[in-house]
Amino acid sequence: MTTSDNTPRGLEPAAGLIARFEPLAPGQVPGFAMKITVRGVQLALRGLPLLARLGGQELRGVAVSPAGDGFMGLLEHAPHEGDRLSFGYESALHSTDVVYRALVA
Amino acid sequence: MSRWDEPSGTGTPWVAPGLAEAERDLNEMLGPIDGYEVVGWPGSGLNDRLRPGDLLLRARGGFRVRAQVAHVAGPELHDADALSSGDAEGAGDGWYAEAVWRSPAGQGRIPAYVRVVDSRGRVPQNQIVIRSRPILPAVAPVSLPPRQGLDDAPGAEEPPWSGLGIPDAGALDGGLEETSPTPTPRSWELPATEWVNVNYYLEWIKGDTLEYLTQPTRKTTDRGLDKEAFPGLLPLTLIDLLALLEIERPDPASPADFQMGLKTKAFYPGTAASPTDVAPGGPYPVVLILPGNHGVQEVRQSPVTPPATAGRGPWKKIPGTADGWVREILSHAGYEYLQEDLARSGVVSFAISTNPANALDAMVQTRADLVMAYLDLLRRIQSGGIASPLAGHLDLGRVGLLGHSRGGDGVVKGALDNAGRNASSAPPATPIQIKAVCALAPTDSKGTARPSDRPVMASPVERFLVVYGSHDGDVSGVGGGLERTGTGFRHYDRSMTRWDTMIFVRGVAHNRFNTTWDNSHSPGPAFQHGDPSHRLVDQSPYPSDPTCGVTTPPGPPACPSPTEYRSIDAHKALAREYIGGFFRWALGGEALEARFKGEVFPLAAGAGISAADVAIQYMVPTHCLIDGFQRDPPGRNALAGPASYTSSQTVEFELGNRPDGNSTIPLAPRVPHQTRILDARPGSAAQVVYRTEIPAGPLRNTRPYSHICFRMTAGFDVSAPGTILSRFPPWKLRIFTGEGSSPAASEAGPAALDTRGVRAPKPPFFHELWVPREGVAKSSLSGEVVNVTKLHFQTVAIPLVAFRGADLEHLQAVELELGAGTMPFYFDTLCLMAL
Repeated sequence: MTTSDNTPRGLEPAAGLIARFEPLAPGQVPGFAMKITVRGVQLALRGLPLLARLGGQELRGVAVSPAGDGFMGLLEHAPHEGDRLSFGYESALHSTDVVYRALVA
Repeated sequence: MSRWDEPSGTGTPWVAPGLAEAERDLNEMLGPIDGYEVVGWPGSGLNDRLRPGDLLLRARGGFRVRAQVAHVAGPELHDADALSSGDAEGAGDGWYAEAVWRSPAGQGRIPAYVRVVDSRGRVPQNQIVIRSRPILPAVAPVSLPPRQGLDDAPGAEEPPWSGLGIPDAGALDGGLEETSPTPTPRSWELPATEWVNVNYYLEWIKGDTLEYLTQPTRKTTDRGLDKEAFPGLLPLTLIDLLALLEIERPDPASPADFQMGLKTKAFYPGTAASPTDVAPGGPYPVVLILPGNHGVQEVRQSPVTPPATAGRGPWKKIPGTADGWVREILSHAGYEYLQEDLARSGVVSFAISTNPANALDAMVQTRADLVMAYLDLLRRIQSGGIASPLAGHLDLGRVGLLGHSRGGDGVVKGALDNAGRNASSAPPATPIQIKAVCALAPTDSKGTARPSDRPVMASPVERFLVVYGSHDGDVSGVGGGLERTGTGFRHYDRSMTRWDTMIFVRGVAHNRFNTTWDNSHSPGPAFQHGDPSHRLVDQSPYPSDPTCGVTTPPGPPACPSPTEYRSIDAHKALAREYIGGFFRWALGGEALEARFKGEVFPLAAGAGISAADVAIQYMVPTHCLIDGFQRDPPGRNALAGPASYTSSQTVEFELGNRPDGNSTIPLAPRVPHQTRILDARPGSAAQVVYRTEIPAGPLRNTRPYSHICFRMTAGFDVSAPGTILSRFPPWKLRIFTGEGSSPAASEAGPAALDTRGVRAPKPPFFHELWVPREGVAKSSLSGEVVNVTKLHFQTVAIPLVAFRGADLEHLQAVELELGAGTMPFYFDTLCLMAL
């Protein structure tokens, strides 16, 4: 499992923003390579769906937690080192300090 | 005429017994009846087959003779012997029609079978059957000063219906005396959660392809219900929390799978005498009401006092905590004001919980599947499989759906899925017929998919209504009609039911239709836009409206009176009259059609919303589409006649799909539509910009229609309230009529528009929205103001009689001429309608 914990500078409140990158076994979720779970945000629950990207790749099936304190989504392809997480409710997504870092054995 | 003359032509004024007094009442309520033709005279037979909307006027005797009016709902006549005693009024032998009695208060409108003719086929002496004339007669022109914002030609002709004494259709839309007692609204709640297996879908659009992820095993990890994913502050896993609130639970028969909990509360026409009895006169039409996406739980980590709160479930102790409590937010409880009103009018409504979808942030398909599950629940209630007073009282052949926000998307898809199930090789034993669908402030999450994947509201749904506010701060339309998630404009652009209507209302927000979502997190009632989950938008401390005078964060604005926002009561009034009226009309048979073609504005003065606040689009059943600008085949209109553009600056495009060429007013973000239109650019002098031909043959006969209509808007500068002009660009519509090769031209301009009710075109409704910089944080005080003012289309109508001297049986061509100017003119959906 690859994990990246980051403290955001731009998010309010200034709680820790934590992203968990969970590789998926082949066939576990057909067509997808990784599941991302993000915590430490305060999301309003809206009619509009939340949109999120990691680098140039859009997260599919984004779902906000009932408490609005996090969200999850799926990636079709493994991310690249340094890919940055962005998300928001309108198409102009807002960048975060969460960056994908692969663990080195 | 002021009296009903005898039809024999003797010229002798003749008044049936009792009708003189009734006439006085009628004139008070309807105005002079010159705009009507008589279908059945007292003592005579009917001279035409009944039509829905015909009026049956009756003089009722007694101490004071009073008029009664019933609106005919169906064309069939039924033998009294074939009707059960509870269905028909006790008026003796004869033939009865399905009709609705009207009341002055607009309530107590109960469908019934009303005696139209006696056993020998004669209209009784104390009643008459009349019909509104579809085409208005011509009248000599009268000069009037130009109307503000519309008249570009001073001294233009007077609208041809003025001064005729034609009754204001608003009188028809009010109501008269009723004969049945007003039902007492009664409620019934599903006594225990019903657990069903409903799939959970993750949905997205990849490229232009709609994709789903649904796992047949419904394992927790497939549904985002990981124990580790969202531990939050509670010693509960998510699924434990949802099970505690009876929203989701492990399937007892297969613990690896999960079930969703169904909860519903119905309001129905009851009686004053009994708390449970259903009023006689059923079976009644049914409406399902879906709320939108919202939080599902409220948590306290301190002792709570347990009084019941409207819109909330009971507090439940969280296991493993000293003072941890949680209760469910019942979003579906937020429409009881509307449900009670429907019940008084003879419509049963079920507000249904979609919290299982909300808890998982599901988009559309899960909600549509929940609609199907609740329809199955209706079948069980109707059959007595679930004990309730409503068993046998539901008319499952007359069902409507109302969906708010994501629920609006859900009801469109649910109606399509239900139709698909009915038409499948294994239809349900008791098919449910969804006749009417209303999408309130809906999302449109499928509009950017390829056309075959876009949900299109069409037959067998007969009527479709979209209600959307200019100050919707959630489904705000940021980015315009090509954004991933669109608004109700796109639903309307695609819809193809027999009667489509959309109203776009100034100052109306997103949350205020749901009383559960409104609470007092703000300084006072004027700020009640939503609860903590929604106060991101449209609510102090977010200065979302320039009328507040504050647009610069941070800090709470000094905004004591956000006047552009209509009050909660105004939202309720709008919902009662347009949404409630829609179902009373579409399902209950009340003759309220005038408001759904813009002819009347049904809200009372002082309701907080006026006719000037409503922009309307509509397409009625009797119409002929001349040109929808789809260009299939190229260069041809919808009737296969040629269409040409005589201005080099006139082009067609899918609205919102190209920049408008004006760098200061990018068009796409301003346009909420998704349709091909005519983009006409004016020049330095008046010029014809478009011409289309009607093929020879019967299509040239306009006699079945009363108006020529089109949709229009213009390239207003909406960068600030003061830049929005009150006038549209000057235009003329010119028609060419006659039988020969040299047809005569006649023309009409803005002054000829039928502006009754809400039909006058409205310039854009200015609105700016506060968007936190992160786009998501509820407590953020930093962000930016985004202009979400829309260039909205609206349907406008010109009476055909306004084209003086035209041979209306031989319409050969139509031209659009623009006056000199600089503002682009957008034009679409040229058609003939019988209004």
